[in-house]
Amino acid sequence: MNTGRHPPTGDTDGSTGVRALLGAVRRRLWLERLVAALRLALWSWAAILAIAAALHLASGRPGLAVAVVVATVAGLAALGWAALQRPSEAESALYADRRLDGESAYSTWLEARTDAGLANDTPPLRRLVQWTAAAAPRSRSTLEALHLPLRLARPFAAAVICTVVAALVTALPAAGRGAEVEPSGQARESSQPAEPLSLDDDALAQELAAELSTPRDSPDGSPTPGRGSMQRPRDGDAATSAVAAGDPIAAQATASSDDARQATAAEASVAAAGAEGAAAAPRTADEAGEASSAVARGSGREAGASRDELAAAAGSRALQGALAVQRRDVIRPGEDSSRQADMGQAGIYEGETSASGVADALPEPAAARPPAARREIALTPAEAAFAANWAETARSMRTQQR
Amino acid sequence: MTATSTEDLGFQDAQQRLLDIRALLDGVIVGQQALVTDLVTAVFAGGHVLLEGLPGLGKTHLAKALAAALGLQFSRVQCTPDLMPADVTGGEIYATNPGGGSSFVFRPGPVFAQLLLVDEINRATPRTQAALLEAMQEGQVTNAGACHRLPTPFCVLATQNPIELEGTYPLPEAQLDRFMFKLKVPFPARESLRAMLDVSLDREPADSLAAVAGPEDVLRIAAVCRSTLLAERCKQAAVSLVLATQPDAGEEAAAARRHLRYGASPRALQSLVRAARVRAVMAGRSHVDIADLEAVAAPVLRHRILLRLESELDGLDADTVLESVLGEWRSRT
Repeated sequence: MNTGRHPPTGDTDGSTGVRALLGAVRRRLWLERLVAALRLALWSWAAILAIAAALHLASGRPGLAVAVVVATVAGLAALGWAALQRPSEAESALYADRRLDGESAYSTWLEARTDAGLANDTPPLRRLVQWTAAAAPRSRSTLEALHLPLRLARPFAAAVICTVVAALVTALPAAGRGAEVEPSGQARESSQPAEPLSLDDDALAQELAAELSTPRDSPDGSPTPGRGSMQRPRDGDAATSAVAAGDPIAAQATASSDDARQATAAEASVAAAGAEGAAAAPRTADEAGEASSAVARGSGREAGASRDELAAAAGSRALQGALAVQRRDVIRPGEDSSRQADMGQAGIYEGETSASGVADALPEPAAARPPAARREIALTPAEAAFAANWAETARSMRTQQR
Repeated sequence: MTATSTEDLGFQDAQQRLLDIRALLDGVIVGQQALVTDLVTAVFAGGHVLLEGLPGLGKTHLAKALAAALGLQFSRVQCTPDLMPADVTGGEIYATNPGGGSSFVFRPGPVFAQLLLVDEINRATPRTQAALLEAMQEGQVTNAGACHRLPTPFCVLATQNPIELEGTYPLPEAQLDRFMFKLKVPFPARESLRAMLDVSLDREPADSLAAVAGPEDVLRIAAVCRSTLLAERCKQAAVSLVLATQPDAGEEAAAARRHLRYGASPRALQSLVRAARVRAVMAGRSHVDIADLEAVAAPVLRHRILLRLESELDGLDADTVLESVLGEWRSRT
């Protein structure tokens, strides 16, 4: 295959039979590839629909139509790719050599014909042409006897099963599936039992009033002034000045800036809200200041001189910091305005961090609004009592302001 | 067209001569068809053969029968530890000229034959074994600065006994690589043993064997074999087979990676294709097939691969590993 004068040409050398054989092999290869692509398309169809069904179970998406469209596109792409891939003559010759008893003759023959430097009148080449011409009919009959392996039953069955499963899954009721998978907020609300409170109504009302009048940290998360012992005298002054100014709410808000004074401040708030008189407010504030001082003695630098006392004070400071952070998490700037329904917080606005600032910046209390009524929720007796108490308090405040 | 017909006839004649020689040897060496086919293949491919088998299996008889069938000049060297290189290659002797006077004259040794039988080559010293290297590879002998060409065709048939290794000198790798084939002489089957009694009980068949070819025929048939066509697919397959035996080639077979220390050499690749060409002519084809390569793979490669010590201790031999390598190579091609 390395010397020669003329490239082999024409059909006079008996290459017609070989050409016809290679053409038949080419068609056969193309058909096999199409069948393989069809098999691949069916498997991909099954896989895509199975995945779609699983996704639909998990997240409710996608729908059956989307999955079918994707699977169809994938299958058509596979078929189109296979249809465009025409087998070459070399592949056909290789197939004939391997499976049609070609004994490498067809590959050699094809190389000899395409090799321009190869002579066609050398004895080996003539012998090769004779050999291939004699072997081509036999290979042709072998090719025709070969059964084309379709093997489409399993992928077809898989595609059908996956299609049916996907159709069933996507046809399930959406509400029921949604409730099973991910209960909505409304469902969670409705699932909670609306049991009436069994506590005594009046006691509960008082407790609620005290709880609602509990002071909160400043909205911006800064430490409440007066929490430390260094701020304590100013707290007392602010509360006193606020009460003296006739603003019981500001007095309550200022005086109750420490956790340890919550109960006392609540009493003061209730007392102030109950319009028992301006004289009672300073007393209550003083009591609150004393309570605050009592707490402050356990914290800060002046808490003690000994090492043990300093250690206890440090631990107390850390605990207070943790509490402050916790409360900042609860109350954030820009929250729902329904929090303004708290009468104890009526005078506190965002950005105001000091009780003294409250007294100066609030010429009049904010208009408190009741929480939005919901028709579908009936008020429990405790809530009804709280609402009545709130309405009475608000009415009295307006009366005082006028 | 007349010349073409003559050439075609020459091709057909080559195939027929090969088949005749094989049939003739099959009649003499009973029950060793595969061995005879491999031997004929190696001779017409221009290679040398290392025969390995137990004593009494007819190795020497086979060599003599081959020489008789091909009409080749035959000589024999019985190797012993005291055999000297000059005993094989020949040497200069001081001789008296017919006209008076005297001078050193080169006296050719037994290597100057067309078919040389080196019996029990592993009993010769490495020095004597190495004396054969040049003869086997270059086809010449250098003595006292003068090169002496060996006759053509030239073929070395060496035998060795796989047992009784005491006092022997195993052939080095370089010497082994010079042999195209290493053929194992198997023990005959029962029917063959029975037939042997009828063929060679009272006479030596090789002595009365009529030649079916001559040295010129051998050369011509070898030329026809060299002219066979080799497709690119077969070339790639041959290369892949050699690379499959290389443990670190990147294309090695799993068995080679696990059990082999060294693989086949490029000379093995050449031997593989040359032998496959003869097989193709014997099959009546002017082109080489993958099956031809596979048929000669074991005799070409078995003495060119070196097993790991662990594999040898596990009882593996080269043929077992080669079988695995060929199986993987077959699936690749």
